[in-house]
Amino acid sequence: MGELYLFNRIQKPGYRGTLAEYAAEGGYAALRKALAMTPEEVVAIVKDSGLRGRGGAGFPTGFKWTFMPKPNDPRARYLAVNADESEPGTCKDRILMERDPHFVLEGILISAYAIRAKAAYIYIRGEYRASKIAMDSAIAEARAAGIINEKIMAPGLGAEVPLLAYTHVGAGAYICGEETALMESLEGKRGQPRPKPPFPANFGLWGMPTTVNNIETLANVPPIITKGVAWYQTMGTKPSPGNFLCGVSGDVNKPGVYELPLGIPIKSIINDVAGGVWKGRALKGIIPGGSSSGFLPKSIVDGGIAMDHDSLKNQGSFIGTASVVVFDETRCIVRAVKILCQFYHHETCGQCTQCREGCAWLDQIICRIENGDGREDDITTLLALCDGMRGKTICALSDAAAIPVQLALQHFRAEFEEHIRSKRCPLGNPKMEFHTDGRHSHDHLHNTQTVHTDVLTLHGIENPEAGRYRETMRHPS
Amino acid sequence: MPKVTIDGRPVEVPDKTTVFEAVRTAGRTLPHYCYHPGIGIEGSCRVCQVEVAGPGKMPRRLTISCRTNCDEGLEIFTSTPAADGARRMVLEFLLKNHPLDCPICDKAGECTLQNFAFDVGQARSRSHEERRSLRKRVDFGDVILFDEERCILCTRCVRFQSTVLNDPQLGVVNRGADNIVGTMPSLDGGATLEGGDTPLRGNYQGCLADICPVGALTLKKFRFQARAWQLKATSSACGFCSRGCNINVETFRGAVKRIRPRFHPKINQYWMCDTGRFAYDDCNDRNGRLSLPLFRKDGSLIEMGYAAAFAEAGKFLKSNAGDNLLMFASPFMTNEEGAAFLELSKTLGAKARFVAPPPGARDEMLYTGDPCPNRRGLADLGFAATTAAEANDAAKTAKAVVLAGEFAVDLLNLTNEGSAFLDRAAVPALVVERRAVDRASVAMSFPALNTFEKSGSFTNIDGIAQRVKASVAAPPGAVADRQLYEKLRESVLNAGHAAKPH
Repeated sequence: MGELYLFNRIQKPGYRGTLAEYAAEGGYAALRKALAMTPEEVVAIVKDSGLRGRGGAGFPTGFKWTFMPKPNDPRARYLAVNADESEPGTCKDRILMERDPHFVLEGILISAYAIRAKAAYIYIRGEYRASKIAMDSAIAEARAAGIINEKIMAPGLGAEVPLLAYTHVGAGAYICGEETALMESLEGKRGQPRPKPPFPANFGLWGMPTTVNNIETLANVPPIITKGVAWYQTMGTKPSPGNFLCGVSGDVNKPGVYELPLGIPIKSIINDVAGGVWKGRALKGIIPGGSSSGFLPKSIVDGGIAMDHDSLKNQGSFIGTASVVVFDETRCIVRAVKILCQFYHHETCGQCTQCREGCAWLDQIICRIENGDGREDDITTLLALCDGMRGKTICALSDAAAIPVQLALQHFRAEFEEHIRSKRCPLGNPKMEFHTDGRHSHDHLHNTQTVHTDVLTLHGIENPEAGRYRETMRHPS
Repeated sequence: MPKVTIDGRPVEVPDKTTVFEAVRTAGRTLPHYCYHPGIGIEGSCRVCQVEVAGPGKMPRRLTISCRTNCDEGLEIFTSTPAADGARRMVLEFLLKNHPLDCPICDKAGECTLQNFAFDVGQARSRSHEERRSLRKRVDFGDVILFDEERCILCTRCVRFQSTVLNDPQLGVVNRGADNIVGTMPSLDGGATLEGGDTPLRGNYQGCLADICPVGALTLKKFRFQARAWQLKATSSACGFCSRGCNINVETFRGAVKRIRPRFHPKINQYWMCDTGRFAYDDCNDRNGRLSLPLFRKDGSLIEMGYAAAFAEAGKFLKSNAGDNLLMFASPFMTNEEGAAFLELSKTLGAKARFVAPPPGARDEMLYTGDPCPNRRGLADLGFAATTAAEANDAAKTAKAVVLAGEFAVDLLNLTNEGSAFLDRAAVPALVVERRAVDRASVAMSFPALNTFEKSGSFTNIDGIAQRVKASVAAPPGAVADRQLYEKLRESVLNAGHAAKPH
């Protein structure tokens, strides 16, 4: 599958990601190289590389950095690192943090230097205890080795610059992965998105200019600095260069996290990378990029759709976190949508009216349909609700909740109608519960732990919890 | 002064005007819940959406009007299908779990959720789901009762406490569809509500019920007292401290039922304190109110017709005219009453004084600490401010005393070391008060009106004169204070010759 630059060390047997091991693999060379340049030169290289954010929106990273104020602005700047990976189906950032924390840290330090940040704050999802421990020990090692310090001599700048990084643990709220909610949470407030404008580059953490980047995005930075823009653009497509981490979960033979070039056909991800649909079954549909990106049917996958920003956008979906969830022919799409709706119902911050009421309402209606209590007008109502929720709120959570419903109704409408007509789930699934607070069920669909377990198994590492998570995978077989 | 168009009509607006305010100025109030001009812009209820295009090449798009500034060349469309649909959808979302207990809700008739839902005309909901059921009566302290079901989470109350009062006592607890406004846990072991929370503190709790767009936060005192459409509102100024907050006095069947602040940009903005808001009980109490003058005969005060009383009073005042007649006005008098009283005192050759109790502590918002609404007005008219101690000294050489206006007797007694001023002075007194003052020295007594029964003006602490309007009727037969002083002056003049002017 071409050259690897994100997982190249992780894949080596016995690699533990300590400072000594990382340095032996040429680690921190990129940081030294970057410090010899001016921050603006680093920004220019990343901008030229065409690197796009891997957190979901796919915004060009170098371009984002240019939004920061000019160097003569006296305000302190911050880099907030988004490690609140909560998108159902997604578990890529934790692999990087747990298995190669210095690689992540190097990317963070280079980026902090590039935007002249006073410090970088790594906001780690509350459940990711192992990631927090790994990042903390990497920071401690780097501090002891003098890599992290209040005053680092930067030859490129001819001055001493602070290179500081701290971790902060969230409480496991999905909404805190939204950049402004993340900043609110970092400040110790209730995790709710802020209305924009003002944008973080002007008014971010504690009111100071701030850039928020995803872990995987920043991990792309050291290789770009070391090997250059031309090398980077040999991978992926022209508008979406580079490799990405693809989490494959659901009904495939080899679920896991894989490093793949952008633009790879999704069909190839399922069949060649993940070993095909399991139990010899046929494909029904996929979620291409984490739950918010909605459902795409087999026909579109067979049509050769590629995993990149533009191809998926053309289908009304988006690349998101590029985490594919595969559904085999025995899966009930209504049930899958219900589980997603339940997730958004539970995770909405409740600030905006449409999202607070809409997520719960979608959950209620789809729960009724799945349980055989659907009404003729339900589909019309669902579409109207989705329309009322999209693009009208402070952040995109409302859109994220509506897109799966819209796409499922677009591609699997017959299945919804069949539920309503026959007053039961045609696949014979047991009834589901509607919780007023949208509590999680333990369905595997958004149990990201499950996928991670498989990854660990792939790497030949025993995980005592693996069995436990496997048991939670209910399957009508 | 950017130029924008509202539904095709060009208008010019001041810098930094929001689209919401521009549209409001142009004559249309868009639905809004989280936005309140006194609290600030939040942008979370999403109901004030309009379509805008521009400036320049910016495409046509939906946006919330409260948070969008009028930039030069912005085109605003308030009534397009997209904007109407977006607003209607938000209202449908808000109403989905709303209990619709309007028939028993105190807010019905002045509820903005009700009003805007009527405007939009969404008569029925598409929801077939069960409505959420939550607690209907949550105690928030002495003033406010909270209904969780009616709350639409606009967070005005939370932000009023944290940004206007700088005293955060409310917060949103839980998350998402479970969001609920709540009080804070008690940490200091003080008084607690059910569940261990701290009751709301402070003198501005009543404002929470004003700003609540629905019937979630209601005044305990106003609950089930009257329907909003039965109330008759009279615009007036508050007479319970020298700030003179602009108010609407709302009455039903001749009694004050509620007082609410009225916007004044320089004096009180949108707010008023609870001291003034809840001071009307005493005024509603008609027990013991005088409607006829009283005259001491054979040791007791007996009622007397006005004509005879004025004649008697004229004789009394004339016989005591001069320097040794002590004339005290209450700083609760209006400027007009004060002017009439001043004329009377000039006719009698006596010095006009007003009772000036020392002001109490002021707070950081509105309450000045001085309970007297017109101290400044009387001082401007030329009255001499007189403390209780000075009054005592002056009483030593007095032949007679006039105490005029509500609270005059009380205010002199406030600092009189245990005994009533009238007893210490021990000279014949003419008293103008709402109720009988039965002290041996009181020779005659005329009825006074309370602050809601009279019209006139108060001059506030900053020298702004403001109109006070009568909102309830005076006790039947009672002569208003101002006419009283004019009549007394006539009686003095008719009683023969005027006193020698000084």
